[in-house]
Amino acid sequence: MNKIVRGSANKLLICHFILCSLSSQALGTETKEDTIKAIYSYKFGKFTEWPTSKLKLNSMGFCILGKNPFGQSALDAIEGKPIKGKTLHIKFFASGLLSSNTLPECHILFVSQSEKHRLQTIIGALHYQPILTVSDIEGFSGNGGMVTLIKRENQVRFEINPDNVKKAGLLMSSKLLGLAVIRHNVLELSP
Amino acid sequence: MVACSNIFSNFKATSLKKLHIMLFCWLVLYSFPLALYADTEVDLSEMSIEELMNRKVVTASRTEQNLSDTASAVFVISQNDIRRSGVNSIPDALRLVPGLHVAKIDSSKWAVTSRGFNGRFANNLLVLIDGRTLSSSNSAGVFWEVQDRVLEDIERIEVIRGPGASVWGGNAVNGIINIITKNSTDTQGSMVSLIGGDRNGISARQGWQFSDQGTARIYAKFFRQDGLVDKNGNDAKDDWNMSRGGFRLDWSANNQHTFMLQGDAYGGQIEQRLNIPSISSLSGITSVFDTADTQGGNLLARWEYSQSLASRLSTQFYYENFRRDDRIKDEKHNTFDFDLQHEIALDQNNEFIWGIGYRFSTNEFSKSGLVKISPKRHNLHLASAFLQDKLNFFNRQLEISLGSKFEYHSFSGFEYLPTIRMLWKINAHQRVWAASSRSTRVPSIAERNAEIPFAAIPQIQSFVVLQGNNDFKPETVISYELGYRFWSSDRFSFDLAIFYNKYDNLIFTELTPPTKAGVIPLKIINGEKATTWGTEITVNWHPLDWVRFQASGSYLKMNFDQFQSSAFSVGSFPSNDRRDPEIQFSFRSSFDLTPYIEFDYWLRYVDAIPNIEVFNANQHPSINSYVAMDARLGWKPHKDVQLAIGVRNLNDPQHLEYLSEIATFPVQVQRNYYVQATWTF
Repeated sequence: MNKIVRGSANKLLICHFILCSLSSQALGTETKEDTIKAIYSYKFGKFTEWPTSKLKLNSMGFCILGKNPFGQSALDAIEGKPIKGKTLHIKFFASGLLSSNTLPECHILFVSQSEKHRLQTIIGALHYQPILTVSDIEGFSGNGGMVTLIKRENQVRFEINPDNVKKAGLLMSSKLLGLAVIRHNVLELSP
Repeated sequence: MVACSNIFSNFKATSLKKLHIMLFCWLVLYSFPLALYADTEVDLSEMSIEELMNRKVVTASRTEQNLSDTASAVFVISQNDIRRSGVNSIPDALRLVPGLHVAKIDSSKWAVTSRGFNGRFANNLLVLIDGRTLSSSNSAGVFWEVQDRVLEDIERIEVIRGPGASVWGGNAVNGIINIITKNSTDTQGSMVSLIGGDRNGISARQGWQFSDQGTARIYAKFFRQDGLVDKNGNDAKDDWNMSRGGFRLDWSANNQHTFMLQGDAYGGQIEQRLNIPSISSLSGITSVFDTADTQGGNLLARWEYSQSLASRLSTQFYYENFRRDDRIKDEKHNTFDFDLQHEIALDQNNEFIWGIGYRFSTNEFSKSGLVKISPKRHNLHLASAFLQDKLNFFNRQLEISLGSKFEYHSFSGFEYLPTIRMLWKINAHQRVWAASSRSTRVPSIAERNAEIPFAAIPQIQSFVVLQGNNDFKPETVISYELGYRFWSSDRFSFDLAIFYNKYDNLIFTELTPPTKAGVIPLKIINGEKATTWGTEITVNWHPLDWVRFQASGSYLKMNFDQFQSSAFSVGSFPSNDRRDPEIQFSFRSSFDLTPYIEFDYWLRYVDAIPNIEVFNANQHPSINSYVAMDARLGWKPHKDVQLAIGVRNLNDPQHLEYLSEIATFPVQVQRNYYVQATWTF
């Protein structure tokens, strides 16, 4: 029995060494795409001003509409983080259904890829609501959305449509706009 | 622990020691993942936008997170899983699912079920592909050999163990398998895939964009599958081939309407060896070589309309045609199905879904084969409606779904199939769920109208003939389920499901007085009750970005109690209680050795099935437990080219996996090697 324990302890040490050395290698400067996208979305909120009527609740809502694209570490990176002197809480609307009664709780709305074919309906429902909309759906900013996250090569950049931000009654810092690629709506959208 | 010791009792003492060491190492390592491998990176949320813009990103494949909020025992096979497991058919891919019992009967036949009652014609499981029901319309199971696609075009396979009848209807008793193919937006360009080994074949697909909002693809696939072997290693003569082609169109209008149209057609010749009861042979059976001709096609259209953010309507229609002609029977089926579903978010804490459906099928059994069905033509109707309400409580921490399906079937009349499900979100990393449901299994045409000579007694020149019964009622089940999930970051997850099912009116047989000479009639009746319970456990561990492990195990216990006992009651046929293994275990590991080379290893253990009943009533052979090991090495020499070599059943030259309840000669699966090449352009 002793032998087994000793043997297994040795093995364990070896396993441990290999795994540790490998994991330290893996800790480079690379980050997972979903984590970067979640942090971006949170950061955009820091550069945005909501009308006071929208800031009556004690917390800020980060609403995910559609199939959740974020892994747990991405969610953990932003859940409970401070924003506008309040804490950020993540809410899921997995079925892609969002009742109008829920919208007041959402400050940032992340529209998942799964909603690609329902974009018009979503934009129509959100129009003029002071909610910062973010998505990684291609052409989101040009079709009524506000911020589009784009992966180019191995970096994530973003496009902003200042017209849509303004229409919703939000203010976005000029610093953020300066870093973004500016987009305008492809078609004039009817609300 | 008892279960564990059972599994390993076959191993020698030395390997047992090794196993202990491994298990110990495993457990200790498992207890550390959080501490060792939690994200030790800098707090990214403190970074500036400029720093984020310059940060390098990697795309990570991850465990499906949304599933954690499902109040049922759900498991998803991703496209990546299918590719890396090296399987070449849909039923073989289902071996990835913990707790599912998948067994090969011969080279073209599979027995697949969840939570008991397996068989070639297992019909406790509902199988769908893109919303079309695959269970044949005489509800005698699924002909797995004709269910296929270009495997690369499958997006995922969602599997629910346990009942889902309240939404899906009758026969979703022990599980639902939902095969979902990719939207044609995701299959643009060309692809050619070649496989070689025990199965040689080619698949080709072409995708294109036909308008601003519309995409399409067409595909063709052909393969020829080598036969398996008998117990002495001789060719069992069960080769087969299948050719198929199809298309899919997806388009959207105003970003508010989406349309999908898809169709397939196929045909194939399936060689098979059958054991047919015979009074002229001393053993009571003659073994014959036979060829089954099969062909079919289907067309499905779906329209989805997002009326507003809080309301979504979808409607679907499909037509399916199926024909199979062999020595057992010649059958033709036509199915027309219409479904409508409406989802409405009534308010923030209340989501309501309702739907209606109607299915009509014509089923024809023309020539008389071994199985005689009269009348020869059956027109069946199935009308249904369902409602389900999902309520949220305590700031969305508790979810309760209540619902029921109401069904009218030509055979079973009116049925109600209610369910209640609860999900408690304990915190960001833990979920508990519980459910209770009632479901039914609609009788098949065979159970009501067939005459199946299932054994011969040459000494008295008589056949024992199983006789359908027009009064055969649906089998009913009340299920109770409990589940728990835990995950820490993306690195580790644990999933546990426990179930307890109470079955009533299970199929049974009794002797009836003979009406003609040479025939001993055994009448099908509702005659048995059962309780089953079991558990399924899955552990995913992803210690490093390039290493993934998945271990799963399941246990199934079945207790039977015949209530129709008279001097004439004989037993169930096929036997209810000897068709399933008690214990199954699977361990998979995947390594991305370099960005271009991947290695996969998969080990499965399937418990013995003692005294499984076969067509010849005199025989009760057993299926021994077996261990199967598969390995695969993949190489990406160019961004558009993928090559792989692999081996299945590495450890064992051949073994028996299953015996069919009807007429099939016992055939064993072999060790086999394969190569695969995929070119996208």
